[in-house]
Amino acid sequence: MTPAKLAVEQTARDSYGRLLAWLATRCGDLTLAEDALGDALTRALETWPSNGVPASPEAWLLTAARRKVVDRVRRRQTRLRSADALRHARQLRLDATEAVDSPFSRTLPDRRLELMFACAHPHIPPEIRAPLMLQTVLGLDATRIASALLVRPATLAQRLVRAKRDIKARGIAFAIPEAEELPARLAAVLDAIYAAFGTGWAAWPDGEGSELRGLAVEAIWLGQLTVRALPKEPEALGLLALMLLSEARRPARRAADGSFVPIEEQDPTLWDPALLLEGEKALWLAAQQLRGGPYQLEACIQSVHADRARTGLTDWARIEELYGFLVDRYPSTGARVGRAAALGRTGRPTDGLATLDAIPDGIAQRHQPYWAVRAWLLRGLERTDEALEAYARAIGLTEDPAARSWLIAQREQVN
Amino acid sequence: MKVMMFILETPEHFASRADGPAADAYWTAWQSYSAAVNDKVVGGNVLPSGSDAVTLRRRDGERVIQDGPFVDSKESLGGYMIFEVDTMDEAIELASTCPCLDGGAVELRPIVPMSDMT
Repeated sequence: MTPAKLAVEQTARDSYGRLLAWLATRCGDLTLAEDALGDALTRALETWPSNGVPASPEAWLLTAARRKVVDRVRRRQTRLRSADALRHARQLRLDATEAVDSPFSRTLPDRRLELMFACAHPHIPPEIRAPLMLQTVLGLDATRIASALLVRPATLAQRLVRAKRDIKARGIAFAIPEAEELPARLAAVLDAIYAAFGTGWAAWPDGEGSELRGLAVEAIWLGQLTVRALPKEPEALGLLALMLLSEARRPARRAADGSFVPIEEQDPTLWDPALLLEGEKALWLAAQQLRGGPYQLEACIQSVHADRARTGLTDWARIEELYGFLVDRYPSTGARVGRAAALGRTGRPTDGLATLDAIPDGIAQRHQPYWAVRAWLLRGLERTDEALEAYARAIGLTEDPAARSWLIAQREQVN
Repeated sequence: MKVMMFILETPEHFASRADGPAADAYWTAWQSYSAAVNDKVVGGNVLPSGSDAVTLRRRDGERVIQDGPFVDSKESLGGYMIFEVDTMDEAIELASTCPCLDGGAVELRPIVPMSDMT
């Protein structure tokens, strides 16, 4: 994609999310807001080619969408005689007039974070929060999200419709929660962003134009939005740092022939210095707040990896220690597997295996990194048969063909 | 529910089944895959390439026997697996690491017993 096209797309995406968030926070109805904005976009496509692009395209879209919302709310209100609807409609007219009358970007309040909080509300099932954000804040196509999340497009579409209906029916507020509620609610928003990032990171990490690579970039974009709105929340900064530091390594994750390169064999001169710097900056800003958290710890681990670009060495003892904190304070399967690998690197493969054994079978069964690390540890301990079996499990659970080929080659070396 | 997974492979996939350096990788990938999904599999088989297929049909009362598969396309049926799962999404997850996806494809179909259809 050319930079110019990317810029146009980003602007469109930026506008879409801003406009939708603004409409949704006003009328309290995501579906209605989406319909109205969709309608406005269709009308723009019909009329702009012949009438010319308006001076402020966003203001034009907002006016068109707002009219649609007001119409619909008014119709509903005569039916229901709802005082709420009346208030919404009046507010909407007021705000829109204000927004349209003055320079657009300065007056239209950015309500995207409020929208994200609604999408990640405790009443919304956790697995639908990330897709809901991707669709509403970024305007991503449901089919594309479904492919990334490994579900049928029809199933996802149904769940999205249901979630939006729930937001409306339960009166879930499009608002930034109060201080006492904020940490828990923000954690849900960050988890959803990270889920989107993880999907983009795990699969097809090299495809320049790959849709899934795009998902990692989209997640970073959401992370930046969050940090812009809440610049003093250390975990939001920590997540952004984690994503940037990981994304920085992308160019080194494949050799010239497309084969997989594990992190310890990557050429650090290929890591993106601008992303590394931006990531370190976010981590530094997070640290100023003196409130730790899991994303900051994860980012610290990535930062130790990134240090190899300067020092030429990886401080595995430090990484093991950080994973230790993570497992103790914020236990997760990923943290345990990471710690097990770090224990192997610091000459303690038996402790590494014990760490893996603590993971319940039901979770370990289909967890690819668990089997890959287990195989590597067993191989180091010369437990050949078990290593071969664990490699086979890892290979069978690997989606990325390059990573699969690499594991097959590793397995062959066991014999 | 039972879900049938049709494994659609490319001529390159079929070619790499034969002896040679590619064969080891091909079969390791498949054996590893079936080990990983084993506890959800209730049936399955490997099929040789479509050139071994025979197709029968009756047209205008006349029986026609043909060498080759019924559908002549780039990908052809290289095998099948039957999963016992709770949902289609679970079947999709199991299918997601199938080695043939790169270049080929899988088609997932819920199996409905004849008694439920009539």
